[in-house]
Formats: sequence, C-alpha cells, structure tokens
Amino acid sequence: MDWVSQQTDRLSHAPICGYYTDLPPATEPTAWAALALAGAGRSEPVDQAANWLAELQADNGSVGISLAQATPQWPTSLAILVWLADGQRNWRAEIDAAADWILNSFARTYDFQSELVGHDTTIPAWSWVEDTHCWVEPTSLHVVALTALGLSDHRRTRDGIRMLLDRQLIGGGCNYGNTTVLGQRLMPHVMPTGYSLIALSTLQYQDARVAQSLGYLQEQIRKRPTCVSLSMAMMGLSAHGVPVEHRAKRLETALERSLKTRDSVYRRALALLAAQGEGNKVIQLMREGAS
Amino acid sequence: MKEVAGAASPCRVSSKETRPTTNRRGLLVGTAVAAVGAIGYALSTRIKSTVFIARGQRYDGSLVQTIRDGLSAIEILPAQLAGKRVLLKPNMVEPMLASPQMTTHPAMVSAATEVFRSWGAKVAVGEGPGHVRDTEMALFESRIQNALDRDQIDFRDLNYEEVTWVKNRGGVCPLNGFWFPRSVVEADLIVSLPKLKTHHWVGLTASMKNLYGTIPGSKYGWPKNVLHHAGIPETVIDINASLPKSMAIVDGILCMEGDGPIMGSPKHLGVVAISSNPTAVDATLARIMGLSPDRIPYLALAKNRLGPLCPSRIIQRGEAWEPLVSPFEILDYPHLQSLRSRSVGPNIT
Repeated sequence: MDWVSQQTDRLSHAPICGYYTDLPPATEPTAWAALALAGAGRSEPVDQAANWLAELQADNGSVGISLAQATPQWPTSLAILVWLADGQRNWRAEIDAAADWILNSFARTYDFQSELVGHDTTIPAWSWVEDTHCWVEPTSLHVVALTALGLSDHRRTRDGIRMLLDRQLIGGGCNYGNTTVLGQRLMPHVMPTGYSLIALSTLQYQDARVAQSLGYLQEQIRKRPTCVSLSMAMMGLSAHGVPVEHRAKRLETALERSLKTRDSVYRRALALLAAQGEGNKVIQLMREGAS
Repeated sequence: MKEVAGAASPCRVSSKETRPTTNRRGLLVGTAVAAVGAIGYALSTRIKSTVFIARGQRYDGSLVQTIRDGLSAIEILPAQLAGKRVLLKPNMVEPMLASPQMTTHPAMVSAATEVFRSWGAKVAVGEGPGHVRDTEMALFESRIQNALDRDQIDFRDLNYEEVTWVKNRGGVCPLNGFWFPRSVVEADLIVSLPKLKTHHWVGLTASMKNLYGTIPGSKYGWPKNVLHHAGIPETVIDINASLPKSMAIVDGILCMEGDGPIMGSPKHLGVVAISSNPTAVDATLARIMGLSPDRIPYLALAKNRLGPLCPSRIIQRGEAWEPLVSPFEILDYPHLQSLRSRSVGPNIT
C-alpha cells in the first residue's frame, strides 16, 4: 500500500485530533484532517469532524481553537470549509453564523503610515486575536472561506486580498505579516507564503507580486523544507495550477523525517492535502465558490 | 516610544475558560522555589544577586564545565535539583541556518542538559517560537534538533500545548493574567537560555525577553501581538514575575548586534553568563554591550521589583564585567541611541 493510502486509512480512524498525537484535540488539526479525508472521498469521518466542530461553535458564530478554549477564534474559517465539504448534511445555519462572525470581525488598524513599518496599516483584514493587528495567515484563511462561500466580490474579501498583496515582499514570498521594519526589509517564510498564495489563487487579474511569490516557493521546495512548510508550499503552487515535480516522493520523505521526531496527525493531514494536488478539497471549494 | 501596531488601549485574552485555583501543584512549585535557593520576588529589594561570567568561551569548548562552575558560583547545588523538572527555554524566534547569531546555539542546549541531568534533574527543552508556526522548521534551522536527537532530549512545543491561566503576579501591564502551556506550569525550574542580541524596540533581548517564548502562539498569535499591545516592557516584567522559578544561562558567545533581534549582524563576544536572577544578569550584559540598564525600559521597570540593576547590588563571580565591555552596534534611531551608556570602558555606568 502506498503511503497516501496508508495515511488516509490512519486518519480515517481518528479524524478528531490535536497538533501532536499526545495532545488533546484542537480545531485546526481536526479541520485539516477532515479536509484531507474529504479529498479522499472518506465521508463518514468528515461528518464526524463536522459534528465536533459544530459543538465548538459559540453563540456568536465563531469557533475557538479547542473545546476548552473558545478564544481566539481564528480557526472559524476552517470550520466553514469542513461544513461545506461535509456532503452528509446541511450545515447552512452554522455556516451562515460563522460567516457573519468573520464578516463583522475587524483587526485593529491605524490611520497613519508610520515610517517605522513598511506595510499598509490601514487595511481592515483579520487578526489572530480580537483587537490586535492583522496578519497573513488568519487573513488568508478567512479569504479562502469567504471565496468558497461565493463572496469573492465582497468588500471584506477584497480588503483581505489587498492586505495579502501588500505583504508580499520585493523578490517574492511573505512572512507572518511584516515587510520592512525600521527601514530593514525582512525575510520571507515558506509557510505563510503558501497560505497567502492559496488565498490569492482566484484573483481575476495577473499580479506580478503573485508571480514572484510563486517563484519563491518553487525555489524553496528544492531546499527540502520541513513537512508543514513543504505541504503549504505545494498547496500554494497547486492552487495556481503550477506543477510540482516528484510531489509524492518529496512529501513522503518530509513526513517520514517529521514523524521520527514526534508523531503528529496534523502533519499527516497537511501532507495528504498537499499530495492531492489540485484535487485537494480546499482548492476545489475555492474554485467552485469563485466560479 | 510607540511600538508597531501599538495600543491606544490594550486588549485582553479571554480568561473565561478553565482557570485553576490554588492546589497542591501550586504548593509543590512553591516548595521547589525554596529548594533551589531562590530569592523570592518579595525579597528582591533587600538581597544582592550573584552573576557569574565566563569569558573566552567556544561552542566546541568545555561548556559543560563552564555551566557547572557557574551554577556552583551562584550557589545552586546538585542536591537542590535532584528529581526536579527543569525546562530549558532557548531562543528560536525565527531561525535561519544562514544566521546562527539569531538563535541559541545547540551546544548550549546540550551542555546545560548534561549538567542538569548529572545532578539528577529531569530535563526537557521547550519553546514557542514567536514568528514561525512550523516548529519543526524552527528546530531544524536552529540546529537544535541535532542536540535533541543526539542527547535524547524531550522537546515541548509551547505554542500548541494545553494551557492554564495564571494570575499576573507583576501587575504592571493591563493583562489580568497569562495562559501558560502545561510544560511551563509543571516545571520546577525554567532556565532561560537566550542568545544575547540587540532589540530594535527595547534595546536588548537576553534572559527576560527570551521568556516571551513561554507564551503560546495558539492563544496570543504569531507574533504575540496581544503582548505588544499591552506594552512590551510591561509584559516582559509581568511574564517573568508570573512564571515558576526561573534562572538564566546566557549564550553570549556569538551574539547579534545592529538590527536585532532578527536582521542584525554577528558579533563575537565569547561570554557565558549565569544567574538565578534574570534582572541582574540582563543588567550586567547591558553594560557589557555598552548600554545603560536604567535606560532600558524593561530593566527600569524590573529594578527593585524583580532584581537589582546597580553594580553595588550585584555580586560578580568568575570574570569582572568591566574589561569585557565591547559596545554593540545599535540602529541610529533616537529611542535606541538614548540607551547608550555615558561612557564606555572601565568607567561605564
């Protein structure tokens, strides 16, 4: 049996999972696991995960990071994607409540352009934690969910896209969300670049910054990044239809290396999603929503 | 000065979820604090602190002996650590293979582990990198994974563990408390194992600022923006005040100057500094860097709350600090240039 089938089987038996095997279940790893299983056509465990996520949903529509921690609520977008992916039942009420929360959540902005930082501090995108500034990964996740919901043209989605483009560094790639600080240009990181490019994959126009960041990821993949970063990089490239050489082999090697240090269902899930290429559920949901 | 995305009003992380009350665990931690000969928070205004400095250190040198000597010099005895849970907290904020000056060298991790283990402690390494969510990447790029593998050291990913609410014991910043990861709360001793670097907002980062990494990104973000909004110097103080007992072993061998803590240049200093009082060791290292501790915002707040800044209240063991002064380059911004000591060399204050 190939590693993809093996890992898919394993994930199917325990879709509700934590970041590591010895940690309690958490929203993000469970959501990624469910999306990987959805892409593999395993509907029962997807429904299990969808139910679990629904139990976590708060009255205001948000979904926190775990059963014990209702805040922060940045994984709300991941819950939306799982509910969309669950073909077994209609999660419309939950989806609408979550979408409403996302559309009415605003990161802290500043109506001045400081010489201390290079990015546009005025764009109302999304933060990790309520009442803090906006950053690349939570903004990417919310843009992905809103796009999947058919809201590509919504003002909030457009703001999120504007923010993500603003954070792409000269030369390609982005990091957690700073560009220059005190006049010094910062370095890109693979994982947030992958996130941002997934979110930017349904742009209706060409943007040179996107092309440069795709180039950055193609270069980084050759340098043997670790499992999570490699997986997000491959997903970012796949979302734009960029082929990846030796995809399965690279992922298998990275996953094996990763699991030697510590067992993690989260890492298995991301590797599976990346292995699914353009057939991955996240990309499919975005393309359906944008069409 | 106003921080990036600085706060007009601070935000609060919800404290409505699971909060422990005082329990046996808390009593055990308190007992351990006494057992390692700690100077309690309330006593810090009356008692001198000891700082040990070793010079001429190398990563391929006898770091184990240096650390042993340092712990003995500050009167931490083997018997105090037997059976205790020691959490080593290196700096892996945003590692890059090409920038070894950014993160704690793995040789420091290995050497500290060997010493504590030889004294019967149970040792783990823990970190919650502030700028990267891929912890595996951080471990590989910093090469700390090599130390973990070679020495069979347990690693705790502080960004993603279950968390416990701890009341803010410092009371300087507006946050009522902090969510700490399980491994932090359960530790008998947290060893801050930082890389000595300049810092473009607060002047320097050493043992106290390094403990930002005990705060989980899953609750506070990447970066930990909640803390920035509540005030960087203030949250440095309050995190240090709210943790279980901590001490410092500082990697000052290959340091960072210029645009720290990420984009600065390497600076060789060859120093290892050890203390059971992180305030005292940071003040001493500030002087070595050519900075005035009283002007560094978080040290000014720590003064006489958490430890002494004045040389007259710091007992120096090992090397004297004065001959080691080697001013670090700092960015040409007023908020940083104002941190410079009035003079350098033996007359520095």
